Amino acid sequence: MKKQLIYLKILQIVVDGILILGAFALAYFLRIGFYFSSDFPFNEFFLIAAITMPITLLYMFFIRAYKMSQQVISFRHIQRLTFVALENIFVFMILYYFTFREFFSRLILIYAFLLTLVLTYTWHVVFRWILKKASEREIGVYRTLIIGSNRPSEHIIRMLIRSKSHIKPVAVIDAHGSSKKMIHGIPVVGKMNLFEKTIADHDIDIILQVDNLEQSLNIINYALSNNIKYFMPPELLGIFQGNQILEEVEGMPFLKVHKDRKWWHSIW
Amino acid sequence: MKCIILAGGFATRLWPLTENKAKPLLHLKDKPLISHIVEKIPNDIEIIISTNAVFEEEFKEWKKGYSDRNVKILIEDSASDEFKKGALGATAFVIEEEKIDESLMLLAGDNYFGFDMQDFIDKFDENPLLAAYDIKDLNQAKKFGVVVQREGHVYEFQEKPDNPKSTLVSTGCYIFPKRNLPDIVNYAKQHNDDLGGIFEYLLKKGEPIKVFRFDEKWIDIGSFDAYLKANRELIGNHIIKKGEVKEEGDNKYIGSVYLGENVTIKDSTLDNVVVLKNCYIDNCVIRNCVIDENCTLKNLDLSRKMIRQGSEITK
Repeated sequence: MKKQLIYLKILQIVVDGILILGAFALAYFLRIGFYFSSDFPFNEFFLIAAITMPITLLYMFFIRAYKMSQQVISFRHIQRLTFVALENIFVFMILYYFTFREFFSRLILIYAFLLTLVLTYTWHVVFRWILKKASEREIGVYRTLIIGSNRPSEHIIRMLIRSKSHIKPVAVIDAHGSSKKMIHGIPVVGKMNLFEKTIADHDIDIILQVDNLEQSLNIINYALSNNIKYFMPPELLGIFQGNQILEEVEGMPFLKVHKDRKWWHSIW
Repeated sequence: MKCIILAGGFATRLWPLTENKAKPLLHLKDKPLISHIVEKIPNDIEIIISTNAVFEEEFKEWKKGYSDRNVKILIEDSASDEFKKGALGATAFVIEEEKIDESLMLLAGDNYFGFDMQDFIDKFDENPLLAAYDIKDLNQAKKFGVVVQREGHVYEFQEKPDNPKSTLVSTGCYIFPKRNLPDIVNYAKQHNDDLGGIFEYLLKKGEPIKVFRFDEKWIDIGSFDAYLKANRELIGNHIIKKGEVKEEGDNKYIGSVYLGENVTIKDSTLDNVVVLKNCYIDNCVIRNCVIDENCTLKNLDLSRKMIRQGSEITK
């Protein structure tokens, strides 16, 4: 990952931690009132919240909530953070009970759950906006070479530009030689004979191959040996229909194509 | 008579095999394609190879094997596909640069001709002459210059037509008399990549163009499939081993197989495969592939692939 992106991600995680603690504190004051109760001491409550917080952040990592490619403004991300907020409360409850052997108001837990969900999701949306702004200023962007000047390549370039993604198309290689000179403002630099030169000239971090399947082996081999990330859509393999996921069969990765997308496929 | 071999293309469709070498230097059967062409040309004819600056060194290296022949390498000033002169432009450039003032044989460097070049030259009678081959398929003919022949002469010439009138196609092999050289230079100024167009132009001028029709092998190496086919047809059901080839374990060879110098094959099946020098292949099943120099392949099943020079692929 780019250094600037790592710094931004650290910022996201730190703010997540602060917001989780803030959610607990706010839940306490909303339920008890805006003072420190002697019956239910704030310092004990906040100590357990502080122990819970890093576990919750770790959980966020495990469910890939911090992955750059996650679509933040989506039902799926809300689901993801709902599970995070639930886990947060469960861990807090268990730790509190095991430490102090006593229960407390259940409404605090409901408040903490709702506040964690709302605050973290709002922050993730804001953070997505920060990333877009960073991308506009070329901070932490992945300079991307698109191989292919066909319709799928036009589509992905349009989407990347429109969403101000950190995956920034900078050049297109036309696998078969067409008259196109530009695709949505991105220059078509030439054919495959300029592959290596283009990567050097544009300091490429990612290759998105959307055409010229017969060369995928050479392109992947080059990408791997030069520390470049490589992506390929299932369409390139002639898989247009159904839903596709990577699954392992006896340890070997297979692209699984299934007709219907079940509700449980959307959990993570 | 002088001979120009056109070798200035960048052959992007054959990437990565043509990444560091021009198409005429691609390996065919047991030597570079251009060697097959040069060895067919009579010794007394001066050969000028027109290429671009990118491939200059490779041609100079190749030329060292032909020190007994009058071969000259002329470099176009184009350094990329975008700025190349085009076939006719390159021809005109050589004519002017070399001040050619005699009849001219013009050959495409990416074609393999099976006929005897002396027979072709013998047919030349100071009128333009082109070698034509019956491709026997109207659909295939659409990709070439189509020749409509009457009494041994070109009656009509159609460049890559949508509706070809014949299956007889022009190959990249021509002889022009001295009087037509200014026509080439002038025509090239307007149409630098339209080699076929020169025949339409000469016909309009009323020039009689003779046809040398042949039935021997002719292969236009324009694509990977054509390149594979060319190797298959020339090698036949044989294995050619160049120099020292190390074979270990249980290997199986099917169809035409070429193994270059210092190649190691171990427990593998090769079916219609060209393996160039210094490659190491271990536990692979490889069908219809060309493996460029210095590759290491282990535990792979490959089909219809061109493997880039120096690749190390292990599963």
